[in-house]
Amino acid sequence: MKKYTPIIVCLLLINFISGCVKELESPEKIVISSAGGGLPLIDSDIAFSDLKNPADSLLTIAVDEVGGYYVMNLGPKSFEFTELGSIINIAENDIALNNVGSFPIANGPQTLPTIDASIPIDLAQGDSVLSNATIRQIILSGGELELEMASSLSNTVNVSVTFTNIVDKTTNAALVLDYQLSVGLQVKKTQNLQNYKLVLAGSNKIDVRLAVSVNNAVTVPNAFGQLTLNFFGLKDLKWSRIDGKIGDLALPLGDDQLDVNGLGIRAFNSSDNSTGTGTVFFENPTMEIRFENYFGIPAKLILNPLVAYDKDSVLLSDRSNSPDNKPFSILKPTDPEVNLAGFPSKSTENVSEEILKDLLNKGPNYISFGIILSISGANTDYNSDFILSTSRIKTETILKLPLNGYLKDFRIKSILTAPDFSTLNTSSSGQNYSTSINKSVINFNFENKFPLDILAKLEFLDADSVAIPSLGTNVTINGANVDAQGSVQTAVTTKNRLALDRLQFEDLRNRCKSIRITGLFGTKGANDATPKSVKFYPTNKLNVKINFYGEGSGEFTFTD
Amino acid sequence: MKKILTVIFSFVSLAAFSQGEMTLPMMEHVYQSSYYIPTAVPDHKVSIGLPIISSFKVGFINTGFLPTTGFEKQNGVTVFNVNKFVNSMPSNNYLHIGNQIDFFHLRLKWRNSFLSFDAGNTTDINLNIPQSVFQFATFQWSEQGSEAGRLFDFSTLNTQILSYNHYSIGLNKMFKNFNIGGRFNLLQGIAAVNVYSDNLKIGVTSEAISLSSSATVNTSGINAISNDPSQLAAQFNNLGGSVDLGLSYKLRERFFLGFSASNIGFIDWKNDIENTKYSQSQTKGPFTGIDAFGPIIRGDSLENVDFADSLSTYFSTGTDTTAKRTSFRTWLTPRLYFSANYKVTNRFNVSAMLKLERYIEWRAALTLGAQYKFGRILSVILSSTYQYENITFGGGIVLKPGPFQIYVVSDNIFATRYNLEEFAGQKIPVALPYDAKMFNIRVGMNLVFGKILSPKKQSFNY
Repeated sequence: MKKYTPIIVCLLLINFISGCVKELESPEKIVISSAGGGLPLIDSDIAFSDLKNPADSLLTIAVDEVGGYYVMNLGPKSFEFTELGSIINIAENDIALNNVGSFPIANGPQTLPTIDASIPIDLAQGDSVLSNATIRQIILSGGELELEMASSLSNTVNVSVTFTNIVDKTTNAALVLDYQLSVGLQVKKTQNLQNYKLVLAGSNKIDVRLAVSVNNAVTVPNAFGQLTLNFFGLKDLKWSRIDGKIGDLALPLGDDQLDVNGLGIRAFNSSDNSTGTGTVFFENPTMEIRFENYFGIPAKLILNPLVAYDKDSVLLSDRSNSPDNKPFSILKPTDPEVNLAGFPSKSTENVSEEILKDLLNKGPNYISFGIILSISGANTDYNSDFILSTSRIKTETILKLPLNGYLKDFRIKSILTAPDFSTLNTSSSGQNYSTSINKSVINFNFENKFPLDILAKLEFLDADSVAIPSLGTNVTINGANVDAQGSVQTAVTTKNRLALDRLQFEDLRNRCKSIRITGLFGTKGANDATPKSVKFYPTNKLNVKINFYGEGSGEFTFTD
Repeated sequence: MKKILTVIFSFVSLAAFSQGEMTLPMMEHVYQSSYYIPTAVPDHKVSIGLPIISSFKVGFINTGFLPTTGFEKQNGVTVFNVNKFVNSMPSNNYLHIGNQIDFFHLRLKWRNSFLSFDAGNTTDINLNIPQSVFQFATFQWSEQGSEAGRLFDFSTLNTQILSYNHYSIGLNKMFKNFNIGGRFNLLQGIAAVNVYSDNLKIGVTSEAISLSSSATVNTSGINAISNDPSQLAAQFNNLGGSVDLGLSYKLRERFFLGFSASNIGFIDWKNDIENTKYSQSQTKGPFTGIDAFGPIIRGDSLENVDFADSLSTYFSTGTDTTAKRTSFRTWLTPRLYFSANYKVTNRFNVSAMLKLERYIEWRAALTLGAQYKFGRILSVILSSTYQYENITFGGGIVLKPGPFQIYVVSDNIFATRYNLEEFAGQKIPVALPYDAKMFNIRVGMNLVFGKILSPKKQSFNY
């Protein structure tokens, strides 16, 4: 027994050891009693190009190296009118001439003569343009020629009538009408002139040549009598081109308006009533009117008049006597002979800065002006000028606003959707957790390279878009330092801080659904008695850093 | 003399492969003690170990985060206080979980020497987690009452998960007043995960989140584990070696001193390698926030602007995830032992041992032990160890019916187990020693033959 005692003792010891088990109560919660720290949230650079709404087709932001940024309001409008052919009419009332001419042929053996004659015509018929024109040629696109002849000759004769200045457009072959005339017979022939042109060479007549023959012989023993041109007519003449020295032409192209309302810089989402309001002063605005001249003659355009109206359509200033309402000269395009449409002549004219500054800086609603096309017959060239029935003037008006000026009391408002803080208190089946932020700080750090002083008011809105009273802050952003020319020299850093206690943070994360930002902008020194103009360049930007610091606690609760 | 020298080396504990056991080295007649004592002298000429039956050991060490430190009552309700748990940690928390299995051993006595051969597998998980990792994970990102941020020092963050086989040859040579022993171990790496910080620090302030330096993850054999685990054991591409050396000296009659250095070695990993380095992108610099205002002002959608996603993407751009094949080396955890032994009687002796072990930093342990032999069938060992700021009581029993040598030994036999039914919604079916900083147990059975009958004729006695 003795020798088994140690074994028994060991077994008892093992049994004892295996029985050393304590009960440990399962925790109902996991608690983080103290936690805290800061976190960088946002680091954004806002450049000028970010401020343009891509959907805005009226507003374009561009830049040139010297002048910096500029905003353009394009007023694309093309002035085109109905075909010139309907304005300038050749033989509007048609030409109908009776008893145009008689040509006797003496008796006896002879060689039958070739008779040349001219039929005077008045193509202008009172048309103001053509009346003052010296036409070199008219290319026709329609119309009819009629010629009636009669013969009292003793023989039946063949008469070939050649219209020497009515020629085929392609072959330049003269128009020929052949007649067989018997005694006492009248023959009328009609010819479509669609493929012909009138080569007037400055005259107002149709030249004809009559070639007479008897049985194709011009030498006859006996033929006498008289050939008569009973009737000559031109009707429904349509033209496609008139060459020569054109007469005076004044065509009202119509009015144009440039909406200068809402030219302010748009920030955030423009659909949220964020269009800026306030005073905007542009130092060197320009207005360009670009022309494309599809006439084959030099033309002039007249702004008539250039005026500005406010939002109630009240005339702000009458510049009708302004030197800006002057004619603008436009060169003619090179004559390509066939297709003028592809060869417009372009030129631009600038409206003076003075008038624009005056107009824009008084806050007009729109700028209005009319354009008149003026063609002076004295300035056209007989040998080279022409007009087409499709000739037109295209214009495009561009208001160019270099961002060189100042802003004052410029307000923009926008609504941002707040981040969803509710995930910090989410419940899922079997587990609940809650967090409590006892102290928090939102820090704003702005490094501003825009020459803009900004005061932003932040309002935290609930689900009904009502500002939560316990929250809200003003954020100040100081503008960059500028030199005497208004160019940014150094950035300026501004810090703002929003401290929240526990209840305020609870309001922020549980009630806040959106953030309304109302920004008040002014250029550096804009509130001074003599505000200075500043310039905006692509290097301008605003760096926004937002970070968050919070202290608090959290609990995980385990439930079935 | 021989007896004296035999006694000595109970305490020259050379922890050959796993985190050093303290009680097993005293059990000199058990072959497995030679893992710690190359100079251990047994009382049988032959010892044979069969696969797995011979030895199976598990153990863990947790110097830092003891779960029970977080439990407390608040308003009559039991809660787990994370802050209390984290604040109670030391600056470095060492976690080890290890397992060792013997495949085979054979020891033979030849003249004044013992020659041994053995093979086995060791799988260890070693983690060194700085307290700053837990502070970071529990949002303690600033000093109390201060809005200034914090710099988290992860420079000592280290993970080493190794599985390897050893094939060892040992020699124990006995002389008049001293004894020299040694083992050479050929190491065959199976799989490894090695994470180390190259002085990594994470700065978190309101202005920026920054990483300085980097962390590297090297793996070997991970892909093969999921595809074809069997090929891992058959390959010998990950080779290494280690040595264990020991010396003991008889200072006076019945009083012996010993010194040893063990687990000096490494494994070079070359099979199925992947290397990933985590660092901050040099071109991007610290993280200072996401670009949210740009989309807002431009009128773009914010649906795809996600802070957490942006943050992870920001730092992932610094990750070098190209599947490189650069071999890497892992060192084993070296140990130093200083021991002293006094033989009270032929059946009873007492000893003291100091162990220094290094994994990231040096850690010390002091053991006092007493051993008593009850005849030829039973011997009992009791020990007490102070390590990791904790005192534990260990013990071991060896039963020898016939040629079967059955043993069980543990360095912490009185570890209190806690029955925690549920935590964080998870059921826990077994009682575990939550507040124990260390626990291990080894069990096994060897076959021993050829009793060395005359103690006087043996080189060592105990």
